[in-house]
Amino acid sequence: MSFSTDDDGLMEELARAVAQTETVPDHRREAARAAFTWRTIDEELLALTHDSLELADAAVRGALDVRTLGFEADGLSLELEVDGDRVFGQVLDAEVAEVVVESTDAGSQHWPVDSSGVFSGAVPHGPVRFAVQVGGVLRHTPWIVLVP
Amino acid sequence: MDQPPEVAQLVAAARAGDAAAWDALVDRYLPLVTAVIRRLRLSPSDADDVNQTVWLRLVEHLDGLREPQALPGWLATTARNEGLRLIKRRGRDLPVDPGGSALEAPVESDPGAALVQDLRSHALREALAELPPKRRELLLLLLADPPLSYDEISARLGIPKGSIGPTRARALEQLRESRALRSWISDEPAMLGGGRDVILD
Repeated sequence: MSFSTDDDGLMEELARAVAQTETVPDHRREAARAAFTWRTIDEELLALTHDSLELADAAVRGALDVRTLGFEADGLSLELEVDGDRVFGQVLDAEVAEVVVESTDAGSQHWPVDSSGVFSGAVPHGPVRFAVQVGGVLRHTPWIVLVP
Repeated sequence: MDQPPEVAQLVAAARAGDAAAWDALVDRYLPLVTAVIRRLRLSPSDADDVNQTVWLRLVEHLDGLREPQALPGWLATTARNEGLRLIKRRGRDLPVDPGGSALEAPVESDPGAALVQDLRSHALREALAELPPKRRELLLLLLADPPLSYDEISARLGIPKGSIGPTRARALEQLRESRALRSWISDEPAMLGGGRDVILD
């Protein structure tokens, strides 16, 4: 759809466009700028393979009580389950002693992983990502928000 | 004349670690992301989380970004998708209407059209940034809220009152001819459909 050839019409649309600039809260700008400090180089992404939220029919209540997510890269997989205010996870196909839980709210935490690859902790506030180091390569999930 | 830096240049500089280039990208696209998030009517803290997630995702994907042209579409769809996830997750706490979807309640009736509207607004801001400073300033003064009189505008810009009308007409003509609006018309389908495809890891 093209833009208005009528000057007054174009001015009206321009007014709405400019108004959107004026209503950006300062703290959002600061948060967006600060995101750059999380830039990491030479890390591999564990891609999201499933999220039960995407499959769930919102009308089916029980389906959303426990949210499960799966991530994968190079044969390594990570599964997460959010149940209440706890998150349970498992690292599959690799032996690791810990996962690093990076949160914009709480910084980096190290969660121990048991011999079956299982770990758990309190659901962090705000955006979070999980990282595991295998064979000298740090792999992390995309940033996600886990709502308790 | 006075062209804003190319998105591709800013992306390349940010990729190389230039924080100022990143800030410029934020300034350029934050109104778009904010507008998309606002439509979802999330709680203030959920809206903040979605905003932060969108920018963290972009940081993470800087190296994989192939088509800077499609960046607005990618940001808008990422913001929307992440917002909808939170709505779904929160949705379990809302009373469920057996006849309809609880999900649809807080979201506008035609999400596709709303996204197009927000992307058009973004294109118009980009077009405005391409104008020579004096013409841009005139348009902004004409759009001021509360409105300014032609006498005030004439005094502020140091131009005769009689030239305000003709200058406005020329500025709008130039806006229509801007790169941002011309490429909007040719790229619209790619902007909307290509949200997922521009990131190749």
